[in-house]
Amino acid sequence: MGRFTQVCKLSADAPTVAVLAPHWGGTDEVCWATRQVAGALACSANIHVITTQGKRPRQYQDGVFSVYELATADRASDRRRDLVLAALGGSFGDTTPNPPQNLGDFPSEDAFLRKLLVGGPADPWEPGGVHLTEIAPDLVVVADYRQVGALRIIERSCADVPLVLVPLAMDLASMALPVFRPMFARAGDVLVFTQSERDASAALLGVDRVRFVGLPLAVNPSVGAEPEPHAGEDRDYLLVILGKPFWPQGSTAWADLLRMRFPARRVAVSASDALVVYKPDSVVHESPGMKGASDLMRLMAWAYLTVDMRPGSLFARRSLQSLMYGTPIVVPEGSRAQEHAETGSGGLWFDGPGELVWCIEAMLDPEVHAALGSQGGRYAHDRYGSTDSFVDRVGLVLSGG
Amino acid sequence: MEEHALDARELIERVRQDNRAERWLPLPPTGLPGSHTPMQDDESLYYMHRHWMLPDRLDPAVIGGGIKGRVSRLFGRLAFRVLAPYLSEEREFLARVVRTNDALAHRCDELANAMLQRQFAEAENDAKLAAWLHQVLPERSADSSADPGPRDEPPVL
Repeated sequence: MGRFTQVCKLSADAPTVAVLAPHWGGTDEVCWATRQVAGALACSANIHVITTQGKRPRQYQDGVFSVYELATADRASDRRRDLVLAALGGSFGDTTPNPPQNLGDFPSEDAFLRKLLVGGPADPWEPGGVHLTEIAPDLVVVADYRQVGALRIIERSCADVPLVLVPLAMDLASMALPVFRPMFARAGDVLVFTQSERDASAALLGVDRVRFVGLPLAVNPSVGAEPEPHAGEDRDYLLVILGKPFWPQGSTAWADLLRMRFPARRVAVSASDALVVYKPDSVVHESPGMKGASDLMRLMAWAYLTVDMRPGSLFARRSLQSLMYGTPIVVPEGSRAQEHAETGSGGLWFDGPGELVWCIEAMLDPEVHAALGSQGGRYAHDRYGSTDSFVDRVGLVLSGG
Repeated sequence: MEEHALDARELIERVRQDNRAERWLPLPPTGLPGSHTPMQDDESLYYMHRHWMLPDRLDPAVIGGGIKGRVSRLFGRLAFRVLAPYLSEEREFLARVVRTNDALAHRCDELANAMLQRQFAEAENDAKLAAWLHQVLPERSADSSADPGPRDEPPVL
């Protein structure tokens, strides 16, 4: 029996955990990571999720999770906040979490900035205080360090309860803004998924409060038994993952570049709406309506290398999965996927079209390809391949270990 | 730091050093080659235009006078009269050869121009592609689930 299914055997005195997450149930990396943390805690605690999303306020059961939707989220406010943070981060021009010197002049209690960052004139977390009081949690988990309003209701409803922060930090620069300091200061534990997120958090808080929990990734090994029929069977194609629709544009400069530079190679372009395979004899196979996650895994498992043009910004899930199949990656410099390529020596990274071509040329050397593939596979399996160790590491926050 | 048989950082440094001199920058072509000479201006064609018309009678200026001249004129007239149908055919034939060569040279120039224009357009398109690729570097922190919406169109190849 899997550990996630053992929650039905929780004792009556199992602790209660409140998870405050702006988003719940989506398919992007942030939602998925939030759910994984909540799921790990559910092995030994009752989990109540409070989220600002939803069309109308409601409460429902989502598997082992009791979910309270406040329906107060405002996309425009979220976007405005992101813009403000991007502008602040851009003006300070630094991707490290160390606050720039001139940040000292920036008042953390500036009412206008606070209003912008909280999400508008009305704090979307405000109605959640009632639920939090009802739940009376033994532990509060906040997903996303930017939820300034969430901290306010925690202080009002359960000021003495320990807080665990899951920063979900995609923008490391803005973590150091004074307006977010109270959140980090209040957190007893900080759970992070990647080394760069860990380094950024540790620079703010000190190493002892930051816990690297990775994320439990698994790939289906059976996809290696059968190739994706349109891409071919000889593990020789270059896989380009666009991370966005192929149509209506119908052509991509990146794929064209690889076709021109490597005319003897097949180039399989996996978009969110199609799989397009360019072959050396110029025969193009287009498979509109593509393609489930299993198809993408099959493509990655059989590819010579994976070029991920838009790696996920939290922990670059696709790149890790490609590494788990022993398929080396080529990823944009500065992306979260570069960390996997660099730390695990499982791939290369590029800063422009020329470097993309050079990286692929370097990887066409069979020895380089084999070394990067095996090193990347080891790295991905060691750090992200175990659900048990993830559950154990997250579970330590309950025991205070 | 983990030890790897092949260090990706070192490899990237090596790749960048090896290719430092080779940079792909958008270099639009400066125009059609100026030294291109049309076939229609070829010297041989001018010669053919000047010499395609064979004589249909004897030129009195080249014969001269005297008995020798009268005899030559007599035989010449006779020869031209006998050969007149052949010479007429030959003249018509040469005229058509010249016209055909004219047409071929014209067509040749048209094709050469079309090919040059095409090559020019392709080179320009490659330059645009390079420029576009430099502008639209991969979204380094974009989430794969979010569609950024339409971007600038890449050049169509």
